[in-house]
Amino acid sequence: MSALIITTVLGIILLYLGLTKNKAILAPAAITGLLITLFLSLKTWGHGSKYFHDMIIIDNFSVAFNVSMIIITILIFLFGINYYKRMELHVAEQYSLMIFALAGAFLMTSFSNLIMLFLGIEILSIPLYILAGGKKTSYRSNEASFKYFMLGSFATAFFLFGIALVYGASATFYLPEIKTYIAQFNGNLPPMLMVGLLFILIGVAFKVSVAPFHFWSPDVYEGAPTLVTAFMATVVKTAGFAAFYRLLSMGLLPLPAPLKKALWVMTGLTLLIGNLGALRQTNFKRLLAYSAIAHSGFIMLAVLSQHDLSASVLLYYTFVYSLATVPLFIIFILVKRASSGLETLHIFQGLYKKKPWIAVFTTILLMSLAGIPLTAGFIAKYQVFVLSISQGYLAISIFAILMALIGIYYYFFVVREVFTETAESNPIIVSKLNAALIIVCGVAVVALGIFVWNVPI
Amino acid sequence: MVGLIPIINIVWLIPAFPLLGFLITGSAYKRLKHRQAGIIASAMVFFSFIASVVLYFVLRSSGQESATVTLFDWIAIYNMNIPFAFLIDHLSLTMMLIITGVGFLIHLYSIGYMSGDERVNSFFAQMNLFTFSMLLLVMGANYLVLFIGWEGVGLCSYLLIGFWFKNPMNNYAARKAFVMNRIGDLGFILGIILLFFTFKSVSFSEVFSQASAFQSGAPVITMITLLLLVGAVGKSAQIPLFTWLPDAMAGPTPVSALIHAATMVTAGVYMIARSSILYNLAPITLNVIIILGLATAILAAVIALRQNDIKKVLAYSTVSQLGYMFLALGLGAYSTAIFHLTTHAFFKALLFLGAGSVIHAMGGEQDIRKMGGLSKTMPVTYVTFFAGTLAISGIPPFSGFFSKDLILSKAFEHSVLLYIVALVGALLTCFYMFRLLYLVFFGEQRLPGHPHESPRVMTIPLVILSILAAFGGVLNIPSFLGGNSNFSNFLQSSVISKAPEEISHSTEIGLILTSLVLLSLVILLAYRTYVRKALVPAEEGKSIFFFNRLIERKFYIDEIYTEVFEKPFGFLSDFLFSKVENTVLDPAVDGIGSATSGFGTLVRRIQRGNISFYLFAMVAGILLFIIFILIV
Repeated sequence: MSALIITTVLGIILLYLGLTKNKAILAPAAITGLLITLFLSLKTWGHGSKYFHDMIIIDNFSVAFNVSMIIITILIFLFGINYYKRMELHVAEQYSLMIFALAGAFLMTSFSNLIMLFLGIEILSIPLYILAGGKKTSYRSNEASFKYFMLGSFATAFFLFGIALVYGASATFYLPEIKTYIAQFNGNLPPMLMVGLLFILIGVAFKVSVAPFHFWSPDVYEGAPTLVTAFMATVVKTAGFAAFYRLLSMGLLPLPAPLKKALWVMTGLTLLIGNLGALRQTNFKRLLAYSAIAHSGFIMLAVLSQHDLSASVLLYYTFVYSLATVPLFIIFILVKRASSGLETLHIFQGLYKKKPWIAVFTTILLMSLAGIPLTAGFIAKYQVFVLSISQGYLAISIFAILMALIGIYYYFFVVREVFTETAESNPIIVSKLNAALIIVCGVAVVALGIFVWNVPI
Repeated sequence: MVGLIPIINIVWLIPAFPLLGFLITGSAYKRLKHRQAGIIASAMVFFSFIASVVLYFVLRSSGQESATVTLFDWIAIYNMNIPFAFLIDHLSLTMMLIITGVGFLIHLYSIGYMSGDERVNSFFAQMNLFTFSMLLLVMGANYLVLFIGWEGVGLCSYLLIGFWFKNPMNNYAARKAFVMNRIGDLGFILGIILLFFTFKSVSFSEVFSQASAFQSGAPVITMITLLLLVGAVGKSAQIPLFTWLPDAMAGPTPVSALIHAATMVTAGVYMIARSSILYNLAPITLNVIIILGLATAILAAVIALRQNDIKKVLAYSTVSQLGYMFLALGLGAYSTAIFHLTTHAFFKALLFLGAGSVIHAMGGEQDIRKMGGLSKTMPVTYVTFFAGTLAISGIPPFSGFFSKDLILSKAFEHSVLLYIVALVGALLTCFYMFRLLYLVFFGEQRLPGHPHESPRVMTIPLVILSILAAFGGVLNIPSFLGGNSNFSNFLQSSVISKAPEEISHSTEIGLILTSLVLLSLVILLAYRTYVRKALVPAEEGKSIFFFNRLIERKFYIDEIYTEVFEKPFGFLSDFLFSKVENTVLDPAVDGIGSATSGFGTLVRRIQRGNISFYLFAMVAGILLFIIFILIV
């Protein structure tokens, strides 16, 4: 709980620090605050507690995911030091909005009541609508913000409607009570309850860009400022899936058969659209957007395979995925700067010639996303597949493996560009801090791929 | 017990030193000058040796027989939990001392032998990497760590055989070694998988404690041991996978001494001794090992009789001696096999280094028909080589006598026939070794030139190894000579030998006297042929006797493999390429690719950026799902 409070206060402090017009203190202040939060969160490991009439339950699950998200946010902020150097106005707002979003994300990992879930999603989303439009003069950024807001509101409406329907049927917002309520029907749920649950699930599925509710993400990812995109692709996705898992495990398991089938259809569709959509992309941000959709499909596999280990596999997958995605966006920013703002895949040409080490780590990170052995991405996918196969979902697992194979193609398309020579010779400038962070992430990805461990939650 | 715990944690240092050496010499290979790389690499192996000695005394003073040191949890997923752990017991300590001790001497020798080679830094990097991998192999506490080392040494062996890669023949030899080892490795991997499948673990301690629940001759154990044996046969160059080892002599001579005589090729022997509990439960496998080992010992010894390349003779001799080790393993006398492994490491490393010294002096000449009379010009090499020859021939009191005699007496316990065949092999060994010795060092110099003794850095390792080869036998003096078999007792806690049927001392002494008389006759025969009559072996292919030609051509085994395996596989792959791949697979794969691409374009087109279309599609999706859940 203290983590949640400190994060909120931190956001407000950062907002006021912006008045001092001293940009240099923002990132250190934000990172210090997050480190305190990280410390406090870690201290609550193993000491669960309940708040607000049990509407919020902090347990090991929430601590583990909060810690994972804090680490990734710190990583993004560290990259932000360099990124926001060029920005004159409203830097403080950028930081504090991300912190507020993080506070929302904390709620999404620790709710046990539908209202808290709704609050969490909204606290997470509203800052993001603003952040997506962070480049005020950019047409694309404004468009992204507007689209995200429109579609997001639409999804929220359905989500709320779903809560209303479920409340109408069961007269409670508490997930454990909903669970007992559902159990009494023995699988034959009344239509109102069923539709209500479907709407709730769709609301969350929208947040994690599960097809066919993914339409917003390629456009928003492309248009939003790249650092915000990195935040959305990692922290927001982790929060979304933590909420998804918690929703299922606390309230809906065992899933009624029709809902389960619907979710499997969504998973298959997500895998298909994510991987096929990425195949022909020429814009790197869109490529990563589709890659994010594809990964949502793999993660869904872990969430839906109801097993004791699902949570820890989910944590491992989202963390490892974030650890590879954030630095890739940063590398993209760096090469984009060197090629006068272009965003195509071709801008990666000549990277090996100019910055061989960065190129090598780019390759490692891409390999992790593709799931090549000796990287953490492989272990993550492997664990998901073992989980889903052990739960008897053989057909969809084989389908997912096929889709993972397609994934290798488009990631290696980028790798090919990295090692292609080019006549064009604008220097790529990599600050020492950025280079160090990229290397740390790359090494971590390999280390996690070789020394496999799982946090038991 | 208490005192052991803190100090034993230094165990990770032992493989870490050579790894560090590899990293240093490997990453700075362009910058290191002159002898720096050699000195760094040798020092690292020496440090490992010191650490191993310390470890030996620590373990001894603690009174414990073994210790498992877990470095970190390596793979922990679901029910699979494989830590990265080292098992330190008497068996692994013996191997570690051999690898680092003999390895250090060979590294030292290489400083002299390889000086002047332009890629000397890479050479030492690879040698250190090899030492690291070999240490992992013997120190691992489970089959998976062992397997990493197993593959690591295979890789280094490949690299070092092809070290002088400008000669295509060397590359061919390297490839041959690699492919033959892969065949063995396939069996080994399958064995490990079956092992994991059966015991749900690959750790030595768990597997062996669970194995006691199985009956002797249980099919699954027999299968596992046979599969592991396939791996051992490949790595330790036994029939039918032995032909790579003679070709592996293409590498620099120190490589032959370290990898292809003293350490790597004995990995198979180590692995079977390590798995002694499993093998004891598989009498069929043990019999297979006896047959393979004995057949290899004889066949290789026969081929060695008519080889004229100094290194090839030693290579076939190694194959033959490995056959003896396998024979001992098959007889269930695992500690005897390890004892022979130890003495063999001493004398065979010595012989190879001596041969290297000769080759060095002769300016790269390896044909023994062109040598002769070197005893005068190269006294140190001559004396040490002589010691090695006596040791391998099994002349008392040299080390080979003790280990070989133990194997022969074990064979006698088993059956008299086995003993006779093994004895014949020993006599053949004696003959070809003395033939080699006489042709190289005795008589007149047959080639003009001024051979000279090698530098100190090369002769000192020779001297140390010759002392070990001469007196290594004292490690294990049998009871009828007043000793108490220290070495075998030392290993008792690690390898479970089959209950020996003691033969009486008088029988044993009788056996020894028989073999000594026969050995003297053989030496005399060799002396008469190659020194008195000063016969020089004829040119190859000139021999009139069919049998001689057969031996010279190494029983045409390479040719048979080419005809039986290589050519049919060649035809098959040609056929698959031209017919199946070009006409069926390629178009099919291309088709899948373009179809997928087409779908990709389609998905991309749907995403047009039109927000009202997105909303429409979302609503459509929601509606479809409502209908879906209400109908299903």
